[in-house]
Amino acid sequence: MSNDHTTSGRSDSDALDPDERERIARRYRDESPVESTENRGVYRRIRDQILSDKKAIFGATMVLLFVFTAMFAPMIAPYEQDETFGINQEPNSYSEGDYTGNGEIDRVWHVLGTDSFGHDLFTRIVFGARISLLVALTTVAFAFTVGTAIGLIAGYYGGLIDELLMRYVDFQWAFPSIILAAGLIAFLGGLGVTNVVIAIGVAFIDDFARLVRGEVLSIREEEYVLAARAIGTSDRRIMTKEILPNAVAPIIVQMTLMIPLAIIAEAALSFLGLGVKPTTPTWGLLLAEGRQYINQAWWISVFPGLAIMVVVLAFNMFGDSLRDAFDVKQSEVSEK
Amino acid sequence: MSETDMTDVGVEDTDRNSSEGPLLQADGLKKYFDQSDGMLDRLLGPASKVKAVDGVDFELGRQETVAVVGESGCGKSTLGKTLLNLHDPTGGEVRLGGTEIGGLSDKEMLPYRKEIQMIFQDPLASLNPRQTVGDIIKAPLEVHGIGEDDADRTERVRSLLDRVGLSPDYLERYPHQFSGGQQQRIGIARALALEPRVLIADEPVSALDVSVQAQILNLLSTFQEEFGLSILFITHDLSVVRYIADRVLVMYLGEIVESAPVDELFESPQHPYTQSLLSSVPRIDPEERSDRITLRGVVPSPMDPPSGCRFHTRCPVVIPPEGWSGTKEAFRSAFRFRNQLLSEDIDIENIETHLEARSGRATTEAVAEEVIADTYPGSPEDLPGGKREAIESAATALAKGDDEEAASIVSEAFPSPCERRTPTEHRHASDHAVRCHRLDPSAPGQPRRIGADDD
Repeated sequence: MSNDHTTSGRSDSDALDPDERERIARRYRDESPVESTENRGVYRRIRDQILSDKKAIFGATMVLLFVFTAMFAPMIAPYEQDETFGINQEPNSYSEGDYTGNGEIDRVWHVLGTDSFGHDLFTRIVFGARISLLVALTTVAFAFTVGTAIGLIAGYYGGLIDELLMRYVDFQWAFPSIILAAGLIAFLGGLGVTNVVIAIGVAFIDDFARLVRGEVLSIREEEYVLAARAIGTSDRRIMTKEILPNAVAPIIVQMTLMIPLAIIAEAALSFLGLGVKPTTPTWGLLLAEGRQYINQAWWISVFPGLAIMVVVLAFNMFGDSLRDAFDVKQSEVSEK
Repeated sequence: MSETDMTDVGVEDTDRNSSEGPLLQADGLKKYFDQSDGMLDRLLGPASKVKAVDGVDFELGRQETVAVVGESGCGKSTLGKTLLNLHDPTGGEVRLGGTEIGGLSDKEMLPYRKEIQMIFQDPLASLNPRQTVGDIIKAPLEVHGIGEDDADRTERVRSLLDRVGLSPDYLERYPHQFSGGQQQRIGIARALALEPRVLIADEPVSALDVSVQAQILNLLSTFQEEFGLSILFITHDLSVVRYIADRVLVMYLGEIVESAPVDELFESPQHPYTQSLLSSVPRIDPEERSDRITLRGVVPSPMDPPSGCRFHTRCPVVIPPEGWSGTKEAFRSAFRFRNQLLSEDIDIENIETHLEARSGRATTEAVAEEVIADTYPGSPEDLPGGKREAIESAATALAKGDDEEAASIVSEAFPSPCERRTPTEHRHASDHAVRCHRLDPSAPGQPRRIGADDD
């Protein structure tokens, strides 16, 4: 064996050295860094997984449509969200009246009819998607941040800290989330998007905390964590840079499965009158409103209900497929 | 970046200038692992402890390579991790350049981590799969605030990669894209990024092909010369030891049983355990081949290590007690029978079913005879009067199912100073220390110098 390993990258005379030889060969074979980085592999796997699964394609398409609708609501909705027309109009009917204020009679088409205030239902549902998406994303982001922090700290330090944090999580887990959320709304006082986000977000913390703690318990025993400690890495850096990135797959899956739950929770709170302000267009409020007129105007509650159903179903299908793609075990993420 | 503030505190002035004395020193180092893991366990009885490292002394000089050898489970990896404070020592001291570092908190330990680094057995497992090679090697530089900015650190990483024989262009790749040897090079680059003076290498080549092993060992030797590295090389592979080490420590069940310079150890091993380890090294030259000494019995549990000399349950050359009238061989056969009986290694039920299958029925006498025939090495006929009967009555007690009675009979009939007294360290030569009663002239029984006669 030659002694020039530190420099032999520059000499290819070392014929007895397969490792070295391979290295030199590689250097010439692929001048540019190899394509098959791990991340790229994961992306390709996810793409292939989704494309090979019809339910996943449906889910992904509907999710994209939902996000698109929420983002461009003012352009998609035919009318302003507060505009009023004839009340309780059937689907595919017309309101007649001077709605533009120019003295002429306008004929306005309502594809899904109007509600008891005379709002165009399709417009309300399109704007409602905004609230749903906003609430879902911020709620999950909130629950993720707090829950992950709890799970990381509990799993990494163990001992008394773990006991305390996880007993709190157990307590919260045993408590029905909708009641917890309702109680929090009462405690925070008043209606509004922020309060809804906090209330639902708090109720979802336990799911993330449990998931992340479980991951941390196994990852912290890995040798690369020991190696990080050997070079003097601080606990915080070990948690965020060494452990968390290795738990990212189940966390993403959990997030996609929590979004529909958040949408339902928001709708439920609004339905109970504990959600956003009554004038805000949300699916839950529309549903609650339509309940009183279910005999005369079925469409007021049926269409928002369908919207909720389709979006929730789409997220679940998409999430399931992601879970398969990431190869996360079913038991690892919790579905309520 | 709170890490940066912590660097360089006191290390330079305490160590670099004082060139006298060993660089790394352990004194009575102990690491016990608590096995009871709940309230209930603690209530139910005294805590059972695994004595992974139990009173280890050694010194590592400047630019010296000391190998720690032993079977798996003997505590050699734990020793390495305890020296680095990755495990809190249960007792004893660790000194780095004269400064006590044992049991320091992570924060207090930080400045010393620049001086003492580690490479691991499984190169892939020790590299974070989600980080690029660049991130992995850059981490120690960031943690210790070395380098002016990120670009400077990247430049340092590139030159480190080049020094360990990898292309600097591999910066953006992930660990799994490399071969085992290359992965270990990455691990070495990470450990050397801080330019430490002590490197603890925990079986760094045992996961690699033989040809790649040699490259990694060469790489380590090169760095040893360049940086003046001191290496503590933990391994179970004696052929590697001869190649790389200056001095060898032989470890058995948490204790160091023999320490000597490498040539001396290979030429005249003194401890029977070392002898049996060495006899298992494959040799090409038939002249050099010695009779292979196969150790019998399993490695005892470190939770409850044997009394006296910990090796006595497997030792092929146990010392007979004072006043033993028979031959040594006869005593050793009897002692082995005793140990098999004490470790509950004799399967009475199996013997019974065998007998029944052969002769229809199994009487107590027949079973006792069969036990002796089956497990007694040699023949009890060689034993002096009285002792033969002890073997027979022990076998009978065993056949009757009275294990305790059998155990007490053999314990009384065949005592050995090896199981009664803990051997002290004996200096065979100025730098050759052994813990074995056979080399201790003051020990009782019938000690005899190894190699002098029948051994």
